[in-house]
Amino acid sequence: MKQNNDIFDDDELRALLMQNADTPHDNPWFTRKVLNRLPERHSGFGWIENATYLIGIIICIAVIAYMAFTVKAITPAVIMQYMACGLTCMILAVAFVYRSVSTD
Amino acid sequence: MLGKVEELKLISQCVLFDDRDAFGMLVEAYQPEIRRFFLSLTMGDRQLSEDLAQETFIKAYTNIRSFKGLSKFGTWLYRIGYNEFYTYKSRQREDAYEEVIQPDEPSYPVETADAAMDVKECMKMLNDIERTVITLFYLEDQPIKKICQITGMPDGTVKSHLARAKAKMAKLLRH
Repeated sequence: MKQNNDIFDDDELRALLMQNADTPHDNPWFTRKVLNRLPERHSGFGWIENATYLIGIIICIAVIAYMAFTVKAITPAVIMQYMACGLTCMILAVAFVYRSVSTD
Repeated sequence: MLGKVEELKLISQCVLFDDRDAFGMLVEAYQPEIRRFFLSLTMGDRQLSEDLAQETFIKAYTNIRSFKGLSKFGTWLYRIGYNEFYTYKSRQREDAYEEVIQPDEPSYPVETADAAMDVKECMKMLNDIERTVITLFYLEDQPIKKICQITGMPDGTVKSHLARAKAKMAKLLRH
């Protein structure tokens, strides 16, 4: 027959354990340490950005090519259009390359 | 302690926007419990318990998309922590085995005359699973159902481990 000495009341045991349990020291840097160890952020939508840049570059090249085949006289307006398309193409290309090599 | 709605809001921010500040708030809310849990499981090894607690939160972050909200976030964290601890123990298999067999060895401290066993020494005499269920039930105040979710053990097995652990502790502490 089990003796009463061999059984603990739940509340009694809980109180005993709580009273004697190790408690963690205050560690104000714990959260910061965890956040510093998290993996690099990566955007799930990066492929959309890359695709947009490429489409923009292709459109600019297509416009320049169309103008080269259809323009009959080189006027200041035509030159401005070529420059605008060329500049847009360059900006998109630089942005695409930067986006691809950036580790952010 | 965070309310359920606030907690879900923070989790959504982590999932949708990779919001580190939101995750930081979750860490702040749960780190005392998780650190205390490991401190008990590791029998007071502060360095190890801090490392395991950090690993738990990092695993939680990398797997946060798999949190379905069916249980409380805290229960899910304990589950990850429990797995982390047993992964660590399986890597330290020989040491863990020695600790497990120790309680059954005849040279129990209780056999030394008038030895007063304190609670911490008593906890060391339990095996890993008994210490886990005792910690979760008495120190972390988790109900049996939650302990079953955390450990993956059936209801009867959890109760059986608890009863055995209680009996061992009573025997050791009352001498």
